[in-house]
Amino acid sequence: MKITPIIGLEVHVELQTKSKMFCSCDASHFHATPNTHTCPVCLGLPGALPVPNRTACEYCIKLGLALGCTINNETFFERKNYFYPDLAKSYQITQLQKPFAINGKITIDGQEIRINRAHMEEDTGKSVHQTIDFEDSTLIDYNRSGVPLVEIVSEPDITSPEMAKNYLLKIQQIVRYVGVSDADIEKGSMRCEPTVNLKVEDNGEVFYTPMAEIKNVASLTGVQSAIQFEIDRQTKAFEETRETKSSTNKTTRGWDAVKNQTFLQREKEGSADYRYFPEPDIPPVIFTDEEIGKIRETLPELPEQKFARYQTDFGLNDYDANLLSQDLNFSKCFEQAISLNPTKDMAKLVANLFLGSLKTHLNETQEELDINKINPEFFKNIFDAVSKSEISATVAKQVIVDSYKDGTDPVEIAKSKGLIQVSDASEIEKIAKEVITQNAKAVEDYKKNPASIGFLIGQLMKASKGSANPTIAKEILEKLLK
Amino acid sequence: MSSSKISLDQLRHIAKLARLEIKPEQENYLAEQLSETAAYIDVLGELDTKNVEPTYQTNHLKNVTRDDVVGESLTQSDALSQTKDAYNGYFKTLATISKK
Amino acid sequence: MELNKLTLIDAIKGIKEKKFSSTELVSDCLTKIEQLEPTLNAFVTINKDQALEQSKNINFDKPLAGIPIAIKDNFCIKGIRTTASSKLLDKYIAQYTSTVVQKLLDAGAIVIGKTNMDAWAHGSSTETSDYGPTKNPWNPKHLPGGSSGGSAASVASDEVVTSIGSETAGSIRQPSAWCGTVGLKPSYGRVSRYGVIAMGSSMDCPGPITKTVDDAALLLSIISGHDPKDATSVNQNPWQIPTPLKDLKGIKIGLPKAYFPEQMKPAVKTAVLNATKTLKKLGAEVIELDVLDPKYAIAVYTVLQRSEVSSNLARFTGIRYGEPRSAFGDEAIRRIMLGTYTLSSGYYDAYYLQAQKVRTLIIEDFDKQFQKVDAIIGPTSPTTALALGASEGQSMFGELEDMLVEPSTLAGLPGISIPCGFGDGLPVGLQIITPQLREDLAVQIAKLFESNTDYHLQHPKL
Repeated sequence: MKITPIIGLEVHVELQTKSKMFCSCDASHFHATPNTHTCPVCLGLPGALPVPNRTACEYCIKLGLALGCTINNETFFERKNYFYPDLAKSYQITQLQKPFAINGKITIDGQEIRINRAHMEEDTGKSVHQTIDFEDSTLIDYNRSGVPLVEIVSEPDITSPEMAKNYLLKIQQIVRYVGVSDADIEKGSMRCEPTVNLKVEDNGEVFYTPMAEIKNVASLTGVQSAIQFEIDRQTKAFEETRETKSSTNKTTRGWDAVKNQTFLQREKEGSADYRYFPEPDIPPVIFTDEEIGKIRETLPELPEQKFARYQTDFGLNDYDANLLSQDLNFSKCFEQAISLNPTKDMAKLVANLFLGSLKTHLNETQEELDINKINPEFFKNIFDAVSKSEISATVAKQVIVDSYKDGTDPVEIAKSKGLIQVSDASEIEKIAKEVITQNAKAVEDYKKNPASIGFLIGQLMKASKGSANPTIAKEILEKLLK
Repeated sequence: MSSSKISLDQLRHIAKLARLEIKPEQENYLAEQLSETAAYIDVLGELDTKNVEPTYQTNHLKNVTRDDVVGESLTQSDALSQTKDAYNGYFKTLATISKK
Repeated sequence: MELNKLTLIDAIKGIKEKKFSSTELVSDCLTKIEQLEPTLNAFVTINKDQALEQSKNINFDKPLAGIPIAIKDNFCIKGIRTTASSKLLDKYIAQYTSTVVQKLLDAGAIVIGKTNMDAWAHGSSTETSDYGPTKNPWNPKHLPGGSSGGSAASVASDEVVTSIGSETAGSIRQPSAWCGTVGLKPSYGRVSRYGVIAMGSSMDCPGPITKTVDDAALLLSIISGHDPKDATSVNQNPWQIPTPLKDLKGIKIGLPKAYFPEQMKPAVKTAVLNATKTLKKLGAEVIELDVLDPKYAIAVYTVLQRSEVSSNLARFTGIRYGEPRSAFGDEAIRRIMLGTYTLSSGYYDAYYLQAQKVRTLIIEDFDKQFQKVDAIIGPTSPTTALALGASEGQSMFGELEDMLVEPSTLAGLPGISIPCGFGDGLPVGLQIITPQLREDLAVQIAKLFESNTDYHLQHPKL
């Protein structure tokens, strides 16, 4: 039996607008006192009416464009009717027949994953289950009710948990680049629901297992684990029952992160009849080609484009270009750092500084690079000093972190610490002689294998506190050891 | 696919979708009433609407939106003032999903 | 003094000219209400103390300074019990105020009470109210019509000087016809729906129920206007009270043959045909029209309204307000069930979608007719007020009764009903329908007719 997983992903992104989707309540809700950002509209009071947030629509279009979608000029909202305590009106205003964006695609490692649609809808409130006075109760906070969401639906082009993870990271990256959401999976501003089934090839015949939609996956590792669990479960189920996909046996399953398994949550899809119909309270929304064009102009350079540009314009290798372009803020800092001399040599040096010592520093402090502390003059100075061999690359790496922390010119720091590169042959010869004396074994090794001179150079650099010109150091050592 | 007779099964399915509890003694009567109405509205099928667009909006409005500006919200106490059951600032109801 | 018998305009004048005080007016209304309510049951809530209190402190500069108004009980008013005549909202104190009521309050008006209606506006009789039916002031053994039966009865009986109702299909015009008042249903979107408990979202229209055409025109100028909180609210052709016409010369009025169905009451037919003669005498050219059979409008309206109702009433779960869904009455259950059915998978295309398409045909038919005529008239209702109990056990009472007003409702057109005669001592209503946003012409024709007749001056003996 050959099993090919068929995976589609539905991603919900919470937009960072100031106000909610259909009312003017404050859209921020993380850690807000319960039920303090509500109004008749988002609380579903009798007689209240929705009015759409134009900025949210623009954000959805912007995101659609970044995902390579076609944008519909005229769209409308629909009601999705179902009962649940956190759904204030007992219907969600969403889009079905005419979403804002359709038919996009993204590429991951050369593989294309098609995007079916990106549409606008409103979020529900939040419910918490708690036992109060011996009764199983549900507590509901409607602060989140009505917050704008963009739902991005992929075609089932994903074939493994790993690919699913990469897809989600890519979507997250694009969303953050476009700047419409912080797309934080832990905070819940980005949520994912995988739908999984299998293509089974057995003895020349092809079968498809019933589809399962998995809810309540709250992390990237969770997504991978849940998908893998489903692949295994469906494989086993098919072996046992040979049940195949039909129009009535799609199930909804919940992910239990503690027990690491999915469990059946709702019966057949048929009983969840949402009775969609066009929202009578909201007239159709129109964006002309011109308006869409204007939105397109506000799109930032996307990660892929930046990656390519870093390679062609700055000659950076794949690895460096990728690391520098991955995060929008990091790349902005990089570009600011090289701005006074955007040449390949400068880019290479600064890339090393960023990806070496600065990144290490950030990992220790768990911070993001602060673009206000990236002084292009300082970077130009250090580049000039290295080019003139006044400072070695090693020293440059040392002083750049202090420079970032203190805001002082790194060349000044090098000077004050006596780290200005020594190129004076006689100075270096003094140190070299000491190093040779103190490292008899290494000298022996060198005599047998000249390629091992690296160790001695290293010792010399150490003895000179990194200030020796390594090229000259090597020459002098070789001369002395002849 | 229009059918003017509503069976008890259909009635129960509709009631479930609508979250309405129909008492057993009312089921037949309600099914009859609904069947009567369904029979009446079947007259819609008489008209040829092949090339007709549906009208969802009678006053031809388009593009009514609002700016992304934060306005006033209800106070927590106003929001909770009409519920039978509030708890620590939350609306409270009996649990609906029991995890297996 | 019986100031409650005044029209709105005379009451405004009287207060402004200090002929009497707002408190005197409010008191007279309250006295009449107290006297008649045991018979009529037009009110769900009487705002006695607040109304008297507010009457003591009025701002004479405001257009409705000190005027008490009866408001149909589906309009939310902050701090005041709002029930939509359903036990489900029996204890509901609204948490905000509807735009219409806010405009009235800003204009200086005083809410004297919330009037009885068919529960959730589901009906044309006020008999489905969970608080008992309202009675027709002309004959308390008869119904006032609905769903704004309480508002119409309170005006017809002079319990109040004026009132506000709402119409989805007939709910302003039909009780006005049965009670002998003026009922103006504006164009859809002319008056904000924000804060009106929704019934048929694509059709609901708040509007005035008054003693005279001038009163209705004046109230419309206060309550109409674009509302940013209602996305279906119109932002053009603002309402202006039109100058009265001297005659109807040059005006073409259409009379659809289909608006005289077989089951129509003979007295209604007679009264409306007489009214037609009056309009001709005033100079109008009356043309017989062949319109799309109203039976289609009944089906379209039943499907669309009940579908929208099934969704609009879904928010009533008892979690945030009100009683649980078991508190819904029989009529609400019928409508929610049918509406759920017509939207459900497998039936949506044949019912909901098909209804929206036939709606287009109805609109196109009106467009065609309005190429030939300026206004369309006919009886508002095929009968006069029916007796108590008429609506019980009927699967589609409301929709069938309103067959003559449903076409114009579905097209979003404005319509006015004015008294034009009597049958067995019960009033007959004439309706005038005009193109979208052309309430001015309907009002002009109605006013001229009214000035040349005296039906509006007759009062029930109570």
